[in-house]
Parts: sequence; structure tokens; C-alpha cells
Amino acid sequence: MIEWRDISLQLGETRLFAGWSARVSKGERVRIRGRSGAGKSTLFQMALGFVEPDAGTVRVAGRPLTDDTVGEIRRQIAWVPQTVELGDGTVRQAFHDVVAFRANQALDASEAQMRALLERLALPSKTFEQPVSQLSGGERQRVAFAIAVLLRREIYLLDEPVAALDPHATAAVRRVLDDLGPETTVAVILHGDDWDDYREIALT
Amino acid sequence: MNASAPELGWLSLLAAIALIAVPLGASSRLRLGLGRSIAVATARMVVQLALAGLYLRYLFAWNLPWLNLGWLLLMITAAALSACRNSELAWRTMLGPTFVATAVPALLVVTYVNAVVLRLDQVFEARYLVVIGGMLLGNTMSGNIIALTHFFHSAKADAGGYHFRLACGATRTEALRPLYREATRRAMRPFLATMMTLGIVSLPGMMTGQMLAGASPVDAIKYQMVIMFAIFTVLTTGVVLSLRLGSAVGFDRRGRVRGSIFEA
Repeated sequence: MIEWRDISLQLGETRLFAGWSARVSKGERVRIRGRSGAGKSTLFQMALGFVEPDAGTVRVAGRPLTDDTVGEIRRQIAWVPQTVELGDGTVRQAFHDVVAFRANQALDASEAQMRALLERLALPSKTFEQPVSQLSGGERQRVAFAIAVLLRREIYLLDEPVAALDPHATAAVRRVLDDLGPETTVAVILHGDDWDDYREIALT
Repeated sequence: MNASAPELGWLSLLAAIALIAVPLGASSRLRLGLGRSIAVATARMVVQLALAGLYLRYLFAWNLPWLNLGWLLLMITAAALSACRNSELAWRTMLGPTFVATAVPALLVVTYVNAVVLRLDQVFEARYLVVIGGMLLGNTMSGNIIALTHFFHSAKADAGGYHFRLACGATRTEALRPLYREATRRAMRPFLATMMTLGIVSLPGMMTGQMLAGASPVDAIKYQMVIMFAIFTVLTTGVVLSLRLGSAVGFDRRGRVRGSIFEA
């Protein structure tokens, strides 16, 4: 589903990748581990076309990522970055902003669904009306994750989604991921030994 | 009785220039390191205004519509170039969009003012086209500098939200909307503040000049209002257009800010 093939990338002074390859198959659950600064988030950025490797190819759903395919590829991926920015309004506004994008208008994503998802992700029910600026980093990530789920994408790329969460909230995130269905593909950047039932991709 | 200001002789002008010794002295005393800039700015201003006096005299005397229009286009080019330079963007890439974004609203509004508001017989009359045009351009230029600097800087430095919106299916324009909004707001705010305090804190230069030259305050004020509405309209549309057209050349097909845009 996602393939990084013979990737070389240097950012500034740091050589992040030199002929590096990995792949995630359709329906697979993968955890990506590595020391900080090893390029874990950069893998996601490359899959989304925000960072271009110096050499090598990125393929998503069988197609190489190019200027022409990048738009469609992005619409197959749900991405929860480590630091989530959702504008300066409320969660409700952030939700409506995303739903209003032309590409998402065919989706049927209602406020009720959003509220239900936030609740399943162990967020208090008032979260929906709260200004994003009042939310913690972990709460914002879960809001972004809820939006991502409602977009019904095939691939989920989550960047340390549970790093800031207590065990209860972590379990909630995990449950929602487990319920996504066997045809969805999930790659999660994790610290430590959590979620060892996911196949590991290690970065050195 | 002659109500207008006394004619200025060369000696009087020299006496006015002598005032510059005060900021010069302050710069040296406070070690601001601006002595050179003050000297250069003073010299440039004197020379540019002297030249302006000269060309305006001829433009007014000849009063050829095509020449007036051509002169205005030249002024627009200078304003667009200065906007690119001062926002530290690559002018080779940005001049085109900034020029169009400045020219279209400026020409439309100055024509509207001359034809509909002032009801001139000759719409492209030098006195009005060049003078009013210049006032519209100066303010639009300042607005563009604020807007373009903020917009491209935040598209590069705070790419997080922008990238997240792209990943959520937004088109480039949809993803940039909050950035457009903030940049436009920032560009409009100083002029809005000016409008709020006009007549209380500041008497604008144009009005002061008119009154010094003998016009009645009421006439001067009416003209000032016309100008303020015109400036505000051109400023707003100019900034909106600059951001839109500028982002058409400032981003690559993957929606990333082109690094080359910052190579001034």
C-alpha cells in the first residue's frame, strides 16, 4: 500500500536515509520505531509529498508519487501529525472547515458522528464546543484523528498519537483503530514497546 | 486678500532641510547607526521630489491622455517592484503578479473616481490621474509589503496547519484560506486605524497641502474623503489579488512554497 524504495535524503547536514527501503502492505498494521531525529515523521511527509527524497521513489496504492498523483494520493491518506494545528476557532469550526472542502462534500460526516467519535476517543463531551487553543496536544491529536476517521481514508499515518495520553485514552485510540476494518492500512510512530502486535519497522 | 501660504524660496527650503540635523544628531548620539541611511534618504527624497516637480510640470502642461496613462503604468511598476523588494521576495517571479494585482484595481478605481465622482470631462487628465493614482499606489504598496511578507513567511515557517488541511483533501486555495485571511487583515489594519483617527490624530498630507495652498477646509475635506474611500478599495483588492496571484507562482504543484521565492 505504501512503499519507500531506495530512498536517499539529506536534510541540511543530516543524512537521514541512504538507499533505504520499506513497505507496508494493504490491511497491515505497522509501528515505526527509531531514535528521535531518525526520520520517522519524514517517512510520512514523503508519503504525503511534503518532502521529496533526493533519490528513490515513494509509491502509494501502487502508483508512484508525482506532481500529478500527489493530490489523489493525499486523499487516500489520513494523517495525524505530532503537532496538530486546527486553526483558531472551536473544534466544531475545525470540523466544519474540513468537511466543507470541495473534495469532502460527497462524504456524509455529521456533527453527531463527530461528537460520537470524540466520545469514543475518551474526550469530554464539551470538547466539541471548545476553542482548539484550550486543548492539550494529546487532545488536539485525537480531534485530528476523529476528523481523519470521518474522512474514511484507506491509509492511516499517525505520528506518536498516544505519546501524551494516559492508559485509558491510549486504549480508546487503539480501540478505534482496531475497529477501522481489515482493509485499512495503519502505520503508527511509537516510542517504547507499546503495541507489539504491530509489525515493526525500525529506523536507525 | 491672498489666503495661500507664502511662496517658498530656496533659502526657506534650506532652513527646512536644516531640521534633519536633529535626527542626524540623535542617530549619532544614540549610536543608532542610521546616519548613512538618513543622509541617503534625505538626498533621495530631495532629488526625487525635485524630479517629480519637473515632470509633473510637463505632464500637466502637455496633458496627453496616453502619456498620463503611460506615466501611471510606470508608477505602478515601481510600486510593484518596491513591494517585492521590501517583502524580500524574488522580484523576477513576483513582479508580474504584483504588477497585475496593483494595476487592475488602481486603474479601475482612479477611472471611477475621475469619471463618476469628480465627473471630469477628460478622465485621464494629468492633474487627477497621476496625483490620485500616486496616492492609491503608495498605500497599496505598503499593504502589499505587509501582506506578502506575512503570507509567505508563515506559509514556510508555520506549514503545519496548511499541510494538515492539504492532507484533509483541501485544494491549495482552500488550504491557504486562513493564511490569506490573516495576511489581508494585517495589511488592512494600519489603514483602518488611520481612518479611525483621521481628523483627530492626523490631518493627512493631501488635505494639509490643499489648505496651505489656499483651498477652503470644507473642500479639502471632501476631497480627502473621496481619496480615503478610493485608497481603501484599491488597498483591499490589491492585497487580495497579490496574495492570490502571488501564490499561483509561489507554490509548486505539490503545494509546497517554492524556496526560490525567497531568493531576493
